[in-house]
Amino acid sequence: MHSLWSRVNTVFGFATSVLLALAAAIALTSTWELLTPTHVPAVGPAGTMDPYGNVLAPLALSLNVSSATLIRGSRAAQYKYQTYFHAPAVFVALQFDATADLRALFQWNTKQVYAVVTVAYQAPGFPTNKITVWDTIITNVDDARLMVVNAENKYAITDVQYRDAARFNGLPITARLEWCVHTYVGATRCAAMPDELAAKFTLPANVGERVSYRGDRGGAGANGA
Amino acid sequence: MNPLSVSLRQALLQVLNVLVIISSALVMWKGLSMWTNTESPIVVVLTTSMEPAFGRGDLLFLAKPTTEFQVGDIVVYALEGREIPIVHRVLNVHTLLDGDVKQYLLTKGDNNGTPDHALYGEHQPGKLWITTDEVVGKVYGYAPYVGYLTIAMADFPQLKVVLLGALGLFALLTRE
Repeated sequence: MHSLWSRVNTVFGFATSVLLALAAAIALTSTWELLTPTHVPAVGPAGTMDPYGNVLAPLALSLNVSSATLIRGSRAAQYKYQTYFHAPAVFVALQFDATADLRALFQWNTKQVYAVVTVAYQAPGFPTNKITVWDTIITNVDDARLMVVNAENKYAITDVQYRDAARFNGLPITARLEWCVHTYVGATRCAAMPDELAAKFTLPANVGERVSYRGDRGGAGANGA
Repeated sequence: MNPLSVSLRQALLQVLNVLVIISSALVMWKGLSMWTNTESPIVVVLTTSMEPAFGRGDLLFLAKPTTEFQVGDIVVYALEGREIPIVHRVLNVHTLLDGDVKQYLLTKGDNNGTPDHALYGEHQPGKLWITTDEVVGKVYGYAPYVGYLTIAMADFPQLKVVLLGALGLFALLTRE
């Protein structure tokens, strides 16, 4: 039978199948290679020019922590870090620099890149802890040359045992730059900078103290210190 | 042959066809659910709290990961006393050595200014983290706009009746 309804049905079904196949093809051909950490180069390509024709220096994949402070818990600290629902005994304040050339992550199916600086540490009872320090969303390849200079942590760095004021004293920390690639259609996955580029440092020994890592960094921040 | 019995047989066949369609859809959904180890493997985004990554009507494909949750993962979690699950990004992760609870997670919407403490405390005052058993699944895949029909049906309940009615009538009345 070739009634109007069966024609509509056939056209609609065919259109759906074609759309599905197209979406699947896009998802399968575009995402996988983006998601390996090596896809972000250790040193970005040279020869990039700014809008005025000046040649820009290539950007290395780097993260340097320049100082860390253990701040005693207070109303002021709670307001600063927007911690309105509990009163941690201690906050960590970090200063850091980060650079990365994330342009290679932008291909035809890339909608946005979520770049994030994290700190990881071990604490009694909790073998792995990871806290977001800072993040940004990049939606345009023109903004994908990441240059963060002397930034402070955007989010509160507090532990799950937040009443313990000595929780962070002298704790070894590993800070990393990580990123997630979001596609227009398809997979969403994350990767991080290789371990040898991560910033490793030790927090101050007591609450209220500040440690600067600039002195012993030789131009490399906490890296290799 | 009696024409009445033929038409009765035809009608019964039609009903059987509709039942087969419904049950095969159910089997597929439950199969997907078992494969991905989550009760709802496909969800529709309802709010703008994850803009620009996810907008209203976007379709998300979920699964329960066998590995631990990581910072940057986008998870769907359901809170006690709150009807609609929430899709937000994991900000902090604290993994416990042992015990029933495996991980404490803090989440935040990309488009929200602060973490989700206010959401956690809405029905459970003093709750500061969610635990792994509250997580429905992790977002692995994404398709834009496909879920807008369900939002339209939620906003205009009459549409649901009309659509389901039309589909049912169509399935029952169509003759090969």
